[in-house]
Amino acid sequence: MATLEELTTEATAEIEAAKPLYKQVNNDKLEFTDSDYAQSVTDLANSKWDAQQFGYIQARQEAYGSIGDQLDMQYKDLVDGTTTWKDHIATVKSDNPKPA
Amino acid sequence: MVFKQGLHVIQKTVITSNTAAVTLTGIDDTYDVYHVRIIDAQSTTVEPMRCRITKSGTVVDSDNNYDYAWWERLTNRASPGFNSFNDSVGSANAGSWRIQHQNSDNQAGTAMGLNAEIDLFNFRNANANTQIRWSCIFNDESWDGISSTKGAGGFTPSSQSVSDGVSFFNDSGEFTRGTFILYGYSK
Repeated sequence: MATLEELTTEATAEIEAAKPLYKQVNNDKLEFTDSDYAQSVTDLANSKWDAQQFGYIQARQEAYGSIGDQLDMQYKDLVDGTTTWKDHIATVKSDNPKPA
Repeated sequence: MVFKQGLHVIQKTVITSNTAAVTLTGIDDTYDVYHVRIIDAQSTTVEPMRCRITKSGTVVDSDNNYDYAWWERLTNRASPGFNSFNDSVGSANAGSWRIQHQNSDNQAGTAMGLNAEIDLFNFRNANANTQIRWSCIFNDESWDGISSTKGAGGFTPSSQSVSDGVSFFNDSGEFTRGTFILYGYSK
């Protein structure tokens, strides 16, 4: 698990490799200022941090499936005595672990 | 004499070569409400698009002052997915509004760019939250389908000053094409 400092170093290298970067202000195209470059490094590092720390949340939400489908699983489990829903949730959680 | 009925173009920016950020300024006291339309925006990456306000033409990155919530619908899901997110909770990247949803969203497919309608409220009121409301549609490559995101956000003023524009950028990468237009609604 990378620290924010390590991700900032990674982001700095990526922004350096991407130079020159431009911004378009009211249709005038200008190269980034030093401040813009510094901000872009911060933004990219934060983005990497978010993906690392919180990406599992959306991954789980998407993998769980709809509430309707889950209710259907639970109904069938009750009727048939199976554990499909519980197994499904456990698999989603283990496939998308929460960062330590 | 300025005839102020209808919707008036304040700024129009057309991307013709790679551009990392697009800034539209010119929001003043002429109109009550301002509006941004984004047409067919494409980028080099699959990262979410974000938005910030400008004060005196300078983009404002002020952590914890940008809050928002959104929901999404994906057309190829049997049951549409709903979601919400508040960037002031848990996220390191709190200094902007995220126009697109988290992670796998993208507008990088060549067939279809992102189209968006964005309303801007209270930009000239330094004592109230600056407010934004958006609706956008784009091709989500991870789902191979159409995705729609609707959201709303506010910027809590930390000092007594007004906002005069908005700036758009991606978490990484550059816009390769697109048209960004700032309108003013007549009073």
